[in-house]
Amino acid sequence: MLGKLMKYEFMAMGRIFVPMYAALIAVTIISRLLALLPHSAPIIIGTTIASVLVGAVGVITFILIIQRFMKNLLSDEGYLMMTLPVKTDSLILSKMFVATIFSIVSFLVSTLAILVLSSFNFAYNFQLLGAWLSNLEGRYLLVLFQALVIVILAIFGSILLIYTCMSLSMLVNKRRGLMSFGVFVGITTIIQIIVAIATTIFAINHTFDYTRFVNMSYFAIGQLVILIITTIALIQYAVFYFITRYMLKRRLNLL
Amino acid sequence: MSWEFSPDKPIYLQLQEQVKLRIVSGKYLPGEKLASVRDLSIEAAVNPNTMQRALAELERDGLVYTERTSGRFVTNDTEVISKMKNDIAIELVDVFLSKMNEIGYSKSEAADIVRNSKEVESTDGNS
Amino acid sequence: MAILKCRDLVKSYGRKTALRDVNFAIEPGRIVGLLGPNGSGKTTLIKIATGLLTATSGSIKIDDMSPGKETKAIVSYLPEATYLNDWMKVSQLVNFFDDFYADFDREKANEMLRNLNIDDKESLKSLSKGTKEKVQLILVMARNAKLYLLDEPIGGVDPASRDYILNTIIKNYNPEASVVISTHLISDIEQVLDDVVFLKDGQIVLSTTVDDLRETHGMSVDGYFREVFKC
Repeated sequence: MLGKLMKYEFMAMGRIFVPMYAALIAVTIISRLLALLPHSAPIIIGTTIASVLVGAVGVITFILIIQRFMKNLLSDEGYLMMTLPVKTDSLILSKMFVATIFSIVSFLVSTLAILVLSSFNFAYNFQLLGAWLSNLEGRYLLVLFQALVIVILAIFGSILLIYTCMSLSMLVNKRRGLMSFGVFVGITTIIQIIVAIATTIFAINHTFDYTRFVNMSYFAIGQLVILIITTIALIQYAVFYFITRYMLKRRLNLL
Repeated sequence: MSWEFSPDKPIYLQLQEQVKLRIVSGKYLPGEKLASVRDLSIEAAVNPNTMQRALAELERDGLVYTERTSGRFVTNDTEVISKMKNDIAIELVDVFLSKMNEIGYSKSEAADIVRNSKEVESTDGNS
Repeated sequence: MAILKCRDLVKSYGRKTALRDVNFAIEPGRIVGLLGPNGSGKTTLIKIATGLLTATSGSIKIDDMSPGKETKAIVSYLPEATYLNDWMKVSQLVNFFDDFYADFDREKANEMLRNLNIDDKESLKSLSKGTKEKVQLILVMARNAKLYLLDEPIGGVDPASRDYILNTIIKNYNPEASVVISTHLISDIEQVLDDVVFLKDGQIVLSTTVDDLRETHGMSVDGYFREVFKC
């Protein structure tokens, strides 16, 4: 069922994104070709349009992720989606995964456009990258991989935070947009307070033995830091997920 | 002939009456196979359970019978049908006479008006 | 075994109680009218049966199961609103239902669409409101569900469409399934109903068969409704 939900999610988002990506790529190519001409005016126009489109892609991606969740699950279409014989988890995850994929693709397409426009030398730079990677020690490849995982988890987390804010906005009947935003401010504030308190406690704690770190290698310390950060992040994201799930399952309020 | 219902009586009773009418008037011939409960209820735009109940009652009265594998049929017994036709006629006359009485006509006065009235066009070629 | 059974069902929002002391059962093969004025709790009751709302207390069982993923597979729900994805074509919506509902009968759906001359290549948003509603009804009735919950299926619909809807309900009659029709337009559907349940201010005030009501009160359900709910 998750696969089927994702299929329809791809259809719904793809019909907006694909034309958008196509437009961006087309404008980028045209601008690049115009650069071959002697006059500078077409280049400037082309580059400006492309830059605007890059910005637009980012904004539209963000808006569309919000709109899909809001429109498909929390308003009229919710009557269809929430009565399907599927698990609530599948509904949330299908949207989260597809939103993540499009976020990444949007980022890559935008980056590609910018590089093409700035006459980036792909061949040369990829050669450099390849050489660097093959000379890298095994354990640093691990760090690279961990960084990738953290980035993807962070995207999950941001999306789940957005979903949490929208789900909690079902607690009111009017002005849900405002409520979502309010919840967002509230949650981020609470997180900052918790972080501040935790840091203070940690800082004034006299009993913590710092000497054990003296003999650790930089690499080991780095791994420890990554572990702590990832754990904290995962706890956060889990809380977001369960709040969203609870609201959809037990406190659904379709208007 | 269309299926029409009044609001004050149970529908299954009215369905019984209307099927009886169709039998005595010859719209459903003796021994003719009746359409399925489903098709009849679609035609009459009523609940199939209600139609089923009406037909069960008619079966009890001997106007229709069921052959297990082939379906429901109108009775072949023409005497039963004639008696039914007669009973319906008597009922109609009773209603007519009491209404005429209400406006002040006696039975013989009512009979005169009937005798002098225009011949009714027969609808399906049945008398 | 009853297809739908409610016991001491209560639904309240803060101080407001939408449903209370709701007790009734629906056997298979029945077409039931859920009748009551606006705000009497009909939609709330239906939403609890579909799993869109959670009851405050009491129990509700569909085929002896509590509302959840399994009951959603055997309950076919037609809400009042237009709830289908606007941008999809009719053919895509048929595929959608086919994908998610094992009991969906694609042939039946396509046949019904053909009978109404609905072009399945059209996107939903290009159809008129009446046609949109018919598409929704077709998709819901093309499922071989055990319980059909129709919330105000004939309100705001022209008389010919109304006849088509009632005709579809009769045609799809299945002695192992039941249909619950919630409405306040009683005279149009009365002859299609087996049983009626009257709701007033969230409570059941009457639960009987159409035949019994007519015999007991000498008037149609519609007439009786007007009596009971006279302003």
